[in-house]
Amino acid sequence: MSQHLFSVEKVEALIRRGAGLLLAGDESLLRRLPPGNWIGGTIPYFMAEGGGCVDHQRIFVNELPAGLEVTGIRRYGDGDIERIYSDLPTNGFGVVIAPASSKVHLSFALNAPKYDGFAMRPLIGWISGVHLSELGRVTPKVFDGNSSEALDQQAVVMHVALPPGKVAEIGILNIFKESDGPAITFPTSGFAASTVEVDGRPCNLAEFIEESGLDTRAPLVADYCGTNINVSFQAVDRAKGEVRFYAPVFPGLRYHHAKPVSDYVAEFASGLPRGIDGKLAFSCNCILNYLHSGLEGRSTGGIVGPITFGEVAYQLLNQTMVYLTIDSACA
Amino acid sequence: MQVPPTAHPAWTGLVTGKTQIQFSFLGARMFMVRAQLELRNGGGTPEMTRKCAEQLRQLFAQNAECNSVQQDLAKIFG
Repeated sequence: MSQHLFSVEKVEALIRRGAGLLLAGDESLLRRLPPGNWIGGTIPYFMAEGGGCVDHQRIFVNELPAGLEVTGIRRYGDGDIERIYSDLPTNGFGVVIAPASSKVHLSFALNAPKYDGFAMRPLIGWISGVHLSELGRVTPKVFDGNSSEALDQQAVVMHVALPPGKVAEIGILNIFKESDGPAITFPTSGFAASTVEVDGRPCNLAEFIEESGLDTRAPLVADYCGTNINVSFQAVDRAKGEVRFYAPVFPGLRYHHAKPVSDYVAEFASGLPRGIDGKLAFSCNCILNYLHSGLEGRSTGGIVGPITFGEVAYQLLNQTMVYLTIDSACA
Repeated sequence: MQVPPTAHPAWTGLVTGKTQIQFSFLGARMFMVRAQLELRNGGGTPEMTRKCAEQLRQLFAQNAECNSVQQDLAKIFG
């Protein structure tokens, strides 16, 4: 597998060669690319070989490993995103990119686990974004390589077939762990919450956060059968008594605030699974990890990829590194 | 290891929470949370339970060549 920051000209050459490419970069660069076997999303932040960086001049290129075949590129809006899992190839996997804050992003985030075929085949991907100085002024986009078209209200999914004897598997690395603090439960699902239960007692979450001095740079964490799944804080509006999140909370799950992390890079390196080096086909990490952990100029154990406004490992995640490995099938 | 049929009681035990194991396969962890919430919110009828057990079995069958799935099958069915 090849993962590098390349000039537009170099990416053009790869596309014309027929390579299967997952691209990330500045909108103006992606708009210059010819049609081909590629999908892309806008973002100028990357974990590159030299460490975390902002780059408006080059495109981050994830070339699919040899032997993998792009069997199609699909687009989904919020009206048909529910087919995303059932459309995946039975002998492969899918890579999704959705534009941040689009209807399809929000719909997928809220409802994905209820869709037919959820988790039956690997679906990995990310949410495209913009430079933080452009928030609210520029719309995040995704690109469908079939036509090189930029989309701001549809998700693109690349379908990839595996050769016989190979399997694809998704993994995540989340360094955040539940603290021993109170359990927070939510009455409804959504990206915002007001009244919640804290250790079974009703209270306003915005007031609770302010009074308890909760550090909202660390997420809420829920236990998914042994895997910690984060929901990151977006804003606390004390006046409205409302807390907004970057991913939805769900009723029936118990959330705890995460334990503080003293050194993200050290924790990340120690949490990396062994033996995945030669098997990695794709990985990405979250903009909040990049910001709060000061990843600019720092390296995360050789793991490279786009920095994102949300990660997908079957469903939407926050503040998590997700990755896909291609391995030999068990006999 | 082969994936036992849906009729095997272990599948029902897993989705109802009567049997608990630490899954190695991330897809199974994600699916189990969805299934348990669905059963809790929907009253956990026998029909819903059977449907979830069938889907869990299907998840294992479709990913049976993954090393982590084989590890989980060994944990569940020994």
